[in-house]
Amino acid sequence: MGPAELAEILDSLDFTSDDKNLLVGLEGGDDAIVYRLNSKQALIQTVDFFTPIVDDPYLFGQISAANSLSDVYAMGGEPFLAMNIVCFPDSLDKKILRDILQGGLDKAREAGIIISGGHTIDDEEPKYGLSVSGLIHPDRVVPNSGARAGDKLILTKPLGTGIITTAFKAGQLEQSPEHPAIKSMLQLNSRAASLFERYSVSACTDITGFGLAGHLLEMLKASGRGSRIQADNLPYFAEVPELSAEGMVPGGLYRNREAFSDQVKFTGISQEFIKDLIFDPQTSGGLLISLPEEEAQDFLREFNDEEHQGYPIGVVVEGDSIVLE
Amino acid sequence: MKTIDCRGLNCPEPVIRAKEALAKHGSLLVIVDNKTAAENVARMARNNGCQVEMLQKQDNFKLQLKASSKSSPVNEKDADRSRSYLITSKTLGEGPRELGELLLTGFLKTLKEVKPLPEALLFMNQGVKLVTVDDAAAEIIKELPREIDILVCGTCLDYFELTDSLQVGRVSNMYEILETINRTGCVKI
Repeated sequence: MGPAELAEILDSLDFTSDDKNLLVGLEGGDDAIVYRLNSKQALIQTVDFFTPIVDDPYLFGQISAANSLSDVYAMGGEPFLAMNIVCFPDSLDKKILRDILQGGLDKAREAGIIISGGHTIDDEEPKYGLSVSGLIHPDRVVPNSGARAGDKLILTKPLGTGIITTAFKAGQLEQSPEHPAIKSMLQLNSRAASLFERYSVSACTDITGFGLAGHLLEMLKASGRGSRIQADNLPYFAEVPELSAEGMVPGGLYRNREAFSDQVKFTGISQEFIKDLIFDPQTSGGLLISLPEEEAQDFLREFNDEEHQGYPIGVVVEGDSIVLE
Repeated sequence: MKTIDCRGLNCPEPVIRAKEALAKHGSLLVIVDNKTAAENVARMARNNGCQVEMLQKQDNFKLQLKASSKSSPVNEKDADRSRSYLITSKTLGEGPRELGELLLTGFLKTLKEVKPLPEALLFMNQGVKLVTVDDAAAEIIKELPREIDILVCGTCLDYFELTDSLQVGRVSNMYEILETINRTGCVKI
């Protein structure tokens, strides 16, 4: 379902609550809900699952688990408990399901959390994901709504997994576990989140199905701000320009463009694929972090290592749209 | 013309089939039943030097892909070489503005009468106004035969804030425009 259709349905329903302990609900388009348990602890609750994006079931299990866990990290929290959500057809070899679950389990162990139980239903197409619970100090919740004019925006993974996985499906690219896009999707967003308590992070979201444009706009809308993004600073996987010209473009990208393009302004962008890139739906994408300009360099220095790289992609400004320049 | 029916297929399958068929046949009719597949097939074909015509009928999209002269033999005589015209102003030549506008209107109207037809018109700088805010010129350009590719500079549209006002043609970029200039015998108007 496209973002426009979903928004229409959600807008027609009243999810608001008077409960003062509900710190983050649906209103800001946040990644998870956050509920205060006591003065020191708030519960973060989130769920995500999807159809296979790579053929290898073990890799798919790991990627889907990393993607589900990401919503907790995007709130600045630490996951501690998860349950499996599985759809699986009777007709398929049960070893495939075992490998998917093993992938999820191994990713959960890497994150230092417990997976216990879950729910499985019979369905034509396999689907897998996690329902995750996390904890955070109620004062340290990082919502979508805090971005301040002058903040730097840092993105922690390259863009283009939607286009790359479309090419995987078409057999135009080899699905090697060593492919940078697969390595990126496998990577937990825990490292960035673990740094938050030492920086004045004002807003954070993770980049998933609505693409950079959709998730950035959610953050900007909740914060009452706009942004300027430097097209030359946007990171992407090497094959993306060629694949997008060859029509390896997922339907979600066109739906995202339809929903968000009126709030995105391009000035002097000479490379056509950039106009695809920002609408490309991501799987297990990076975190988009808004923090004061003077802290950005230190954050990047601390975050970057052999496995991780953060990219300063632009700034938060007064306004209500994205200007890509 | 070779036809491939990709109805019932989801992307990227139609793109793969169309690309394979295009390599064999040069020209092709592709039928798909969803917008994503239609946009992707069109995109692949254009970037492989084809001209694309798309026709939508309810849920079906018919795409006619024609290999352009790019894929024809290279050693053809200069006279047969395809042409393009680079239009960077609202007037033809320097001099009185009124005369220049009159000449350009005449030029656009006469284009379709003279063979061979140009392969492409390239609109840059002030020229983009002819395909956006200049209704009279845009109407004439709309009437041009479909095989003439109308390329409009995206940077120029952005600069003049006319991206949403495009009436005819498609948004292009410096790479494609330069590639067209190099490939065709290009004349600046």
